[in-house]
Amino acid sequence: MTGTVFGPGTLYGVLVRLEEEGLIEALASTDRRRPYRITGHGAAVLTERLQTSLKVATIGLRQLGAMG
Amino acid sequence: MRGRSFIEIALRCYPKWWTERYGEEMRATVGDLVSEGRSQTAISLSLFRGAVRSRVQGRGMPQNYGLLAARTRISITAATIPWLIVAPFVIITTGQVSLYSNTSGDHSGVSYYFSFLGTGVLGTSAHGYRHPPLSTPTQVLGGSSQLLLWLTIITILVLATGWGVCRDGVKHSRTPHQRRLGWLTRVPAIIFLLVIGMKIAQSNFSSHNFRGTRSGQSIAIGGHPAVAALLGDATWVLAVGGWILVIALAVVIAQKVNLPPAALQFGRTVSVVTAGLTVLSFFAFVTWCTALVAQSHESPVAGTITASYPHDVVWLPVALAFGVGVAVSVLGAASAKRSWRSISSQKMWSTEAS
Repeated sequence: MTGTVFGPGTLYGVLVRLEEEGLIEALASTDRRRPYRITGHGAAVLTERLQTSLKVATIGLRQLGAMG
Repeated sequence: MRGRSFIEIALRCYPKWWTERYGEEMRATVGDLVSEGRSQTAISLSLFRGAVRSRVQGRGMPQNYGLLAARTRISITAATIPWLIVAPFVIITTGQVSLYSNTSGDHSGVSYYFSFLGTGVLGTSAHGYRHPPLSTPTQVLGGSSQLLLWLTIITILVLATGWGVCRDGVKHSRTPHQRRLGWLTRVPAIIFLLVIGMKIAQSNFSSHNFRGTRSGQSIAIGGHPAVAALLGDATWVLAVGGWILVIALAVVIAQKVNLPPAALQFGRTVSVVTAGLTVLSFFAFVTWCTALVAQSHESPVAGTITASYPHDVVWLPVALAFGVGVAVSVLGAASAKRSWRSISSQKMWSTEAS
Protein backbone atom coordinates (compact mmCIF):
# COMPACT_ATOMS: atom_id res chain seq x y z
CA MET A 1 0.00 0.00 0.00
CA THR A 2 2.85 2.39 0.88
CA GLY A 3 5.13 0.97 -1.81
CA THR A 4 7.68 -0.16 0.80
CA VAL A 5 9.27 -3.49 -0.14
CA PHE A 6 10.67 -5.55 2.73
CA GLY A 7 13.63 -7.87 2.24
CA PRO A 8 13.09 -11.43 3.54
CA GLY A 9 15.47 -10.83 6.48
CA THR A 10 13.52 -7.77 7.61
CA LEU A 11 10.16 -9.45 6.96
CA TYR A 12 10.98 -12.49 9.09
CA GLY A 13 12.50 -10.28 11.80
CA VAL A 14 9.14 -8.50 12.04
CA LEU A 15 7.15 -11.76 11.86
CA VAL A 16 9.15 -13.27 14.73
CA ARG A 17 8.67 -10.17 16.86
CA LEU A 18 4.91 -10.06 16.21
CA GLU A 19 4.63 -13.79 16.97
CA GLU A 20 6.70 -13.42 20.15
CA GLU A 21 4.44 -10.59 21.33
CA GLY A 22 1.36 -12.70 20.60
CA LEU A 23 0.04 -10.32 17.94
CA ILE A 24 0.00 -12.96 15.18
CA GLU A 25 0.01 -16.75 15.13
CA ALA A 26 1.18 -19.30 12.60
CA LEU A 27 -1.43 -21.66 11.14
CA ALA A 28 -0.84 -25.30 10.42
CA SER A 29 0.09 -25.89 6.81
CA THR A 30 1.06 -28.81 4.60
CA ASP A 31 2.76 -26.45 2.15
CA ARG A 32 6.23 -24.96 2.66
CA ARG A 33 4.55 -21.55 2.80
CA ARG A 34 3.03 -21.01 6.23
CA PRO A 35 0.07 -18.64 6.62
CA TYR A 36 -0.13 -16.32 9.64
CA ARG A 37 -3.27 -14.97 11.29
CA ILE A 38 -3.80 -11.92 13.47
CA THR A 39 -4.78 -12.84 17.05
CA GLY A 40 -7.49 -11.20 19.16
CA HIS A 41 -4.80 -9.32 21.10
CA GLY A 42 -3.16 -8.33 17.80
CA ALA A 43 -6.47 -7.01 16.44
CA ALA A 44 -7.00 -4.94 19.62
CA VAL A 45 -3.47 -3.46 19.41
CA LEU A 46 -3.88 -2.74 15.69
CA THR A 47 -7.26 -1.07 16.27
CA GLU A 48 -5.71 1.17 18.93
CA ARG A 49 -2.79 2.07 16.63
CA LEU A 50 -5.10 2.83 13.69
CA GLN A 51 -7.35 4.99 15.90
CA THR A 52 -4.29 6.97 17.02
CA SER A 53 -3.21 7.35 13.37
CA LEU A 54 -6.75 8.41 12.44
CA LYS A 55 -6.75 11.02 15.22
CA VAL A 56 -3.38 12.39 14.03
CA ALA A 57 -4.56 12.43 10.40
CA THR A 58 -7.85 14.16 11.32
CA ILE A 59 -6.06 16.88 13.32
CA GLY A 60 -3.54 17.33 10.49
CA LEU A 61 -6.22 17.64 7.83
CA ARG A 62 -8.21 20.07 10.03
CA GLN A 63 -5.12 22.26 10.47
CA LEU A 64 -4.41 22.18 6.74
CA GLY A 65 -8.07 23.11 6.04
CA ALA A 66 -7.84 26.04 8.46
CA MET A 67 -4.72 27.28 6.66
CA GLY A 68 -6.33 26.94 3.21
CA MET B 1 24.49 -18.52 -9.87
CA ARG B 2 26.70 -16.39 -7.62
CA GLY B 3 23.64 -14.58 -6.19
CA ARG B 4 22.06 -17.96 -5.44
CA SER B 5 25.13 -19.16 -3.56
CA PHE B 6 25.24 -15.93 -1.54
CA ILE B 7 21.59 -16.50 -0.61
CA GLU B 8 22.46 -20.05 0.46
CA ILE B 9 25.40 -18.81 2.57
CA ALA B 10 23.20 -16.11 4.16
CA LEU B 11 20.49 -18.68 4.99
CA ARG B 12 23.12 -20.85 6.68
CA CYS B 13 24.16 -17.90 8.86
CA TYR B 14 20.90 -18.15 10.83
CA PRO B 15 21.06 -20.03 14.15
CA LYS B 16 19.99 -23.67 14.19
CA TRP B 17 16.83 -23.05 16.26
CA TRP B 18 15.78 -20.38 13.76
CA THR B 19 16.32 -22.67 10.77
CA GLU B 20 14.33 -25.43 12.46
CA ARG B 21 11.39 -23.10 13.05
CA TYR B 22 11.42 -20.71 10.06
CA GLY B 23 13.94 -22.22 7.61
CA GLU B 24 11.54 -23.98 5.23
CA GLU B 25 8.98 -21.17 4.90
CA MET B 26 11.77 -18.60 4.54
CA ARG B 27 13.32 -20.62 1.70
CA ALA B 28 9.89 -20.72 0.02
CA THR B 29 9.53 -16.92 0.40
CA VAL B 30 13.06 -16.36 -0.96
CA GLY B 31 12.28 -18.68 -3.90
CA ASP B 32 9.15 -16.62 -4.67
CA LEU B 33 11.10 -13.34 -4.51
CA VAL B 34 13.81 -14.69 -6.84
CA SER B 35 11.25 -15.91 -9.37
CA GLU B 36 9.59 -12.45 -9.21
CA GLY B 37 12.94 -11.08 -10.44
CA ARG B 38 14.00 -9.32 -7.22
CA SER B 39 17.72 -8.55 -6.92
CA GLN B 40 19.52 -11.54 -5.45
CA THR B 41 22.19 -9.27 -3.97
CA ALA B 42 19.52 -7.27 -2.12
CA ILE B 43 17.92 -10.52 -0.90
CA SER B 44 21.31 -11.83 0.32
CA LEU B 45 22.10 -8.57 2.14
CA SER B 46 18.69 -8.57 3.81
CA LEU B 47 19.22 -12.19 4.88
CA PHE B 48 22.73 -11.44 6.24
CA ARG B 49 21.32 -8.52 8.27
CA GLY B 50 18.48 -10.72 9.52
CA ALA B 51 20.92 -13.50 10.49
CA VAL B 52 23.11 -11.10 12.49
CA ARG B 53 20.02 -9.60 14.17
CA SER B 54 18.62 -13.03 15.06
CA ARG B 55 21.97 -14.09 16.52
CA VAL B 56 22.43 -10.91 18.55
CA GLN B 57 18.84 -10.39 19.71
CA GLY B 58 17.76 -14.04 19.90
CA ARG B 59 14.11 -13.09 19.38
CA GLY B 60 11.77 -16.06 19.07
CA MET B 61 14.35 -18.38 20.57
CA PRO B 62 12.91 -21.27 22.62
CA GLN B 63 13.45 -20.46 26.30
CA ASN B 64 15.37 -23.48 27.51
CA TYR B 65 18.59 -23.53 29.50
CA GLY B 66 20.63 -25.60 27.05
CA LEU B 67 20.03 -23.26 24.10
CA LEU B 68 20.47 -20.07 26.12
CA ALA B 69 23.64 -21.38 27.79
CA ALA B 70 25.10 -22.33 24.38
CA ARG B 71 24.18 -18.88 23.08
CA THR B 72 25.84 -17.22 26.09
CA ARG B 73 29.04 -19.25 25.58
CA ILE B 74 29.21 -18.46 21.86
CA SER B 75 28.50 -14.77 22.54
CA ILE B 76 31.28 -14.62 25.16
CA THR B 77 33.66 -16.16 22.62
CA ALA B 78 32.52 -13.70 19.94
CA ALA B 79 33.18 -10.81 22.34
CA THR B 80 36.67 -11.94 23.35
CA ILE B 81 38.15 -13.72 20.31
CA PRO B 82 38.40 -10.60 18.06
CA TRP B 83 40.84 -8.97 20.48
CA LEU B 84 42.86 -12.20 20.68
CA ILE B 85 43.06 -12.36 16.89
CA VAL B 86 43.87 -8.70 16.24
CA ALA B 87 46.12 -7.91 19.25
CA PRO B 88 49.32 -9.62 17.93
CA PHE B 89 49.06 -7.68 14.66
CA VAL B 90 48.53 -4.42 16.55
CA ILE B 91 51.51 -5.16 18.79
CA ILE B 92 53.72 -5.95 15.77
CA THR B 93 52.55 -2.81 13.90
CA THR B 94 53.11 -0.44 16.82
CA GLY B 95 56.16 -2.21 18.27
CA GLN B 96 59.93 -1.90 17.95
CA VAL B 97 59.91 1.89 17.78
CA SER B 98 63.19 3.56 16.93
CA LEU B 99 63.67 7.21 17.78
CA TYR B 100 66.21 9.26 15.92
CA SER B 101 67.19 12.91 15.75
CA ASN B 102 66.51 14.90 12.61
CA THR B 103 69.92 16.55 12.95
CA SER B 104 72.31 14.09 11.34
CA GLY B 105 75.49 13.50 13.27
CA ASP B 106 74.49 15.85 16.08
CA HIS B 107 73.13 13.17 18.35
CA SER B 108 75.02 10.15 17.10
CA GLY B 109 75.57 7.51 19.75
CA VAL B 110 72.59 8.71 21.78
CA SER B 111 69.89 6.15 22.67
CA TYR B 112 66.39 7.61 22.84
CA TYR B 113 63.42 6.23 24.75
CA PHE B 114 59.84 7.38 25.19
CA SER B 115 59.22 8.63 28.71
CA PHE B 116 56.79 6.83 31.05
CA LEU B 117 53.63 8.37 29.58
CA GLY B 118 55.09 8.52 26.09
CA THR B 119 54.67 12.25 25.66
CA GLY B 120 58.38 12.98 26.00
CA VAL B 121 61.68 11.46 24.94
CA LEU B 122 64.72 10.71 27.03
CA GLY B 123 68.15 10.45 25.43
CA THR B 124 71.05 8.81 27.21
CA SER B 125 74.64 9.31 26.22
CA ALA B 126 78.03 9.49 27.84
CA HIS B 127 77.28 13.16 28.63
CA GLY B 128 74.12 12.41 30.59
CA TYR B 129 70.39 12.79 29.82
CA ARG B 130 68.86 14.81 26.98
CA HIS B 131 65.27 15.99 26.56
CA PRO B 132 65.01 16.81 22.86
CA PRO B 133 61.86 18.57 21.57
CA LEU B 134 59.06 16.56 19.97
CA SER B 135 56.52 17.51 17.31
CA THR B 136 52.84 17.08 18.23
CA PRO B 137 52.31 13.98 16.01
CA THR B 138 55.38 12.28 17.56
CA GLN B 139 54.08 13.12 21.05
CA VAL B 140 50.70 11.63 20.12
CA LEU B 141 52.46 8.56 18.66
CA GLY B 142 54.29 8.02 21.94
CA GLY B 143 51.22 8.64 24.12
CA SER B 144 48.90 6.43 22.07
CA SER B 145 51.39 3.57 21.84
CA GLN B 146 51.89 3.72 25.63
CA LEU B 147 48.12 3.76 26.12
CA LEU B 148 47.81 0.77 23.78
CA LEU B 149 50.46 -1.06 25.79
CA TRP B 150 48.64 -0.48 29.09
CA LEU B 151 45.28 -1.43 27.58
CA THR B 152 46.88 -4.61 26.21
CA ILE B 153 48.25 -5.51 29.65
CA ILE B 154 44.85 -4.88 31.31
CA THR B 155 43.02 -6.90 28.62
CA ILE B 156 45.46 -9.81 29.04
CA LEU B 157 44.83 -9.74 32.82
CA VAL B 158 41.04 -9.67 32.32
CA LEU B 159 41.18 -12.52 29.79
CA ALA B 160 43.56 -14.54 31.97
CA THR B 161 41.13 -14.19 34.90
CA GLY B 162 38.24 -15.24 32.64
CA TRP B 163 40.31 -18.16 31.35
CA GLY B 164 40.97 -19.28 34.94
CA VAL B 165 37.24 -19.29 35.73
CA CYS B 166 36.53 -21.05 32.42
CA ARG B 167 39.13 -23.71 33.30
CA ASP B 168 37.41 -24.23 36.64
CA GLY B 169 34.08 -24.46 34.78
CA VAL B 170 35.48 -27.12 32.43
CA LYS B 171 36.63 -29.07 35.49
CA HIS B 172 33.09 -29.04 36.94
CA SER B 173 31.25 -29.63 33.68
CA ARG B 174 29.69 -32.88 32.58
CA THR B 175 31.34 -33.02 29.20
CA PRO B 176 32.85 -35.92 27.27
CA HIS B 177 36.67 -35.58 27.13
CA GLN B 178 36.38 -33.27 30.16
CA ARG B 179 39.70 -34.44 31.63
CA ARG B 180 41.58 -33.93 28.35
CA LEU B 181 40.01 -30.49 27.85
CA GLY B 182 40.82 -29.55 31.45
CA TRP B 183 44.45 -30.44 30.83
CA LEU B 184 44.51 -28.54 27.53
CA THR B 185 43.26 -25.36 29.24
CA ARG B 186 46.49 -25.39 31.30
CA VAL B 187 48.64 -25.35 28.17
CA PRO B 188 48.35 -21.56 27.43
CA ALA B 189 49.71 -20.69 30.89
CA ILE B 190 52.56 -23.19 30.45
CA ILE B 191 53.37 -21.73 27.02
CA PHE B 192 53.25 -18.19 28.43
CA LEU B 193 55.78 -19.07 31.14
CA LEU B 194 57.95 -20.92 28.62
CA VAL B 195 57.96 -17.92 26.26
CA ILE B 196 59.05 -15.59 29.08
CA GLY B 197 61.76 -18.06 30.15
CA MET B 198 63.03 -18.41 26.59
CA LYS B 199 63.06 -14.63 26.10
CA ILE B 200 65.21 -14.23 29.22
CA ALA B 201 67.51 -17.03 28.05
CA GLN B 202 67.73 -15.44 24.58
CA SER B 203 68.79 -12.08 26.00
CA ASN B 204 71.46 -13.85 28.08
CA PHE B 205 72.81 -15.67 25.02
CA SER B 206 72.65 -12.56 22.85
CA SER B 207 75.93 -10.90 21.87
CA HIS B 208 74.38 -7.47 22.58
CA ASN B 209 74.57 -8.12 26.28
CA PHE B 210 76.21 -5.31 28.25
CA ARG B 211 77.43 -5.32 31.81
CA GLY B 212 78.39 -2.31 33.90
CA THR B 213 81.85 -2.11 35.46
CA ARG B 214 82.88 -0.52 38.77
CA SER B 215 84.38 2.40 36.88
CA GLY B 216 80.95 3.19 35.40
CA GLN B 217 81.71 1.95 31.89
CA SER B 218 79.58 -0.53 29.91
CA ILE B 219 81.32 -3.45 28.28
CA ALA B 220 79.91 -5.94 25.83
CA ILE B 221 80.22 -9.51 26.98
CA GLY B 222 80.53 -12.37 24.54
CA GLY B 223 77.50 -14.50 23.85
CA HIS B 224 76.24 -17.22 21.63
CA PRO B 225 74.47 -15.45 18.74
CA ALA B 226 73.55 -18.73 17.01
CA VAL B 227 71.89 -20.09 20.17
CA ALA B 228 70.16 -16.74 20.74
CA ALA B 229 68.81 -16.76 17.16
CA LEU B 230 67.61 -20.35 17.52
CA LEU B 231 65.91 -19.50 20.81
CA GLY B 232 64.33 -16.44 19.18
CA ASP B 233 62.87 -18.57 16.36
CA ALA B 234 61.68 -21.23 18.81
CA THR B 235 60.02 -18.53 20.96
CA TRP B 236 58.16 -17.25 17.91
CA VAL B 237 56.95 -20.74 16.97
CA LEU B 238 55.85 -21.41 20.54
CA ALA B 239 54.09 -18.02 20.91
CA VAL B 240 52.22 -18.40 17.59
CA GLY B 241 51.33 -22.02 18.46
CA GLY B 242 50.03 -20.94 21.88
CA TRP B 243 48.05 -18.10 20.33
CA ILE B 244 46.34 -20.43 17.81
CA LEU B 245 45.73 -23.03 20.53
CA VAL B 246 43.98 -20.49 22.81
CA ILE B 247 41.68 -19.39 19.97
CA ALA B 248 40.90 -22.99 18.94
CA LEU B 249 40.28 -24.04 22.56
CA ALA B 250 37.95 -21.09 23.17
CA VAL B 251 35.91 -22.08 20.10
CA VAL B 252 35.76 -25.76 21.17
CA ILE B 253 34.72 -24.85 24.74
CA ALA B 254 32.04 -22.47 23.42
CA GLN B 255 30.55 -25.18 21.23
CA LYS B 256 30.97 -28.33 23.29
CA VAL B 257 31.41 -27.66 27.01
CA ASN B 258 28.37 -27.28 29.24
CA LEU B 259 29.86 -24.68 31.59
CA PRO B 260 28.14 -24.17 34.98
CA PRO B 261 25.99 -21.01 35.45
CA ALA B 262 28.58 -19.27 37.68
CA ALA B 263 31.18 -19.56 34.91
CA LEU B 264 28.67 -18.22 32.37
CA GLN B 265 27.87 -15.24 34.61
CA PHE B 266 31.54 -14.43 35.04
CA GLY B 267 32.11 -14.94 31.31
CA ARG B 268 29.36 -12.43 30.60
CA THR B 269 31.18 -9.83 32.74
CA VAL B 270 34.53 -10.66 31.10
CA SER B 271 32.97 -10.30 27.64
CA VAL B 272 31.51 -6.87 28.46
CA VAL B 273 34.80 -5.61 29.97
CA THR B 274 36.82 -7.04 27.05
CA ALA B 275 34.50 -5.43 24.50
CA GLY B 276 34.95 -2.08 26.30
CA LEU B 277 38.73 -2.48 26.35
CA THR B 278 38.69 -3.52 22.66
CA VAL B 279 36.80 -0.32 21.79
CA LEU B 280 39.29 1.81 23.79
CA SER B 281 42.25 0.00 22.19
CA PHE B 282 40.74 0.59 18.75
CA PHE B 283 40.46 4.34 19.41
CA ALA B 284 44.05 4.39 20.72
CA PHE B 285 45.19 2.54 17.56
CA VAL B 286 43.27 4.90 15.24
CA THR B 287 44.89 7.85 17.08
CA TRP B 288 48.30 6.19 16.59
CA CYS B 289 47.59 5.67 12.86
CA THR B 290 46.48 9.30 12.45
CA ALA B 291 49.61 10.55 14.24
CA LEU B 292 51.77 8.28 12.07
CA VAL B 293 50.30 9.75 8.87
CA ALA B 294 50.61 13.30 10.27
CA GLN B 295 54.25 12.71 11.23
CA SER B 296 55.06 11.39 7.73
CA HIS B 297 53.58 14.56 6.18
CA GLU B 298 55.38 17.11 8.33
CA SER B 299 58.74 18.46 7.26
CA PRO B 300 61.58 17.52 9.64
CA VAL B 301 62.64 20.25 12.08
CA ALA B 302 66.31 20.23 13.09
CA GLY B 303 66.85 18.87 16.59
CA THR B 304 63.45 17.21 16.90
CA ILE B 305 62.96 13.49 17.23
CA THR B 306 61.13 11.26 14.75
CA ALA B 307 59.58 7.93 15.71
CA SER B 308 59.77 5.15 13.16
CA TYR B 309 58.22 1.71 13.24
CA PRO B 310 59.54 -1.15 11.06
CA HIS B 311 56.11 -2.68 10.38
CA ASP B 312 53.97 0.47 10.16
CA VAL B 313 53.14 -0.06 6.46
CA VAL B 314 50.38 -2.50 7.42
CA TRP B 315 48.51 0.03 9.57
CA LEU B 316 45.52 0.30 7.19
CA PRO B 317 44.60 -3.42 6.88
CA VAL B 318 45.20 -3.84 10.62
CA ALA B 319 42.93 -0.85 11.36
CA LEU B 320 40.20 -2.27 9.09
CA ALA B 321 40.45 -5.72 10.69
CA PHE B 322 40.41 -4.07 14.12
CA GLY B 323 37.24 -2.15 13.17
CA VAL B 324 35.48 -5.37 12.16
CA GLY B 325 36.75 -7.00 15.37
CA VAL B 326 35.33 -4.16 17.48
CA ALA B 327 31.91 -4.55 15.84
CA VAL B 328 31.89 -8.32 16.43
CA SER B 329 33.11 -7.88 20.01
CA VAL B 330 30.46 -5.28 20.92
CA LEU B 331 27.67 -7.35 19.33
CA GLY B 332 28.96 -10.47 21.13
CA ALA B 333 28.99 -8.69 24.50
CA ALA B 334 25.46 -7.34 23.92
CA SER B 335 24.28 -10.83 23.02
CA ALA B 336 26.03 -12.38 26.06
CA LYS B 337 24.36 -9.82 28.35
CA ARG B 338 20.96 -10.45 26.82
CA SER B 339 21.10 -14.25 26.99
CA TRP B 340 22.48 -14.26 30.55
CA ARG B 341 19.62 -11.91 31.51
CA SER B 342 17.13 -14.44 30.08
CA ILE B 343 18.77 -17.25 32.07
CA SER B 344 18.96 -15.30 35.34
CA SER B 345 15.51 -13.68 35.15
CA GLN B 346 13.88 -17.12 34.92
CA LYS B 347 16.35 -18.74 37.33
CA MET B 348 16.85 -21.49 34.76
CA TRP B 349 19.91 -22.99 36.45
CA SER B 350 17.71 -24.38 39.25
CA THR B 351 15.75 -26.44 36.71
CA GLU B 352 19.03 -27.41 35.07
CA ALA B 353 20.46 -28.59 38.40
CA SER B 354 17.38 -30.69 39.15
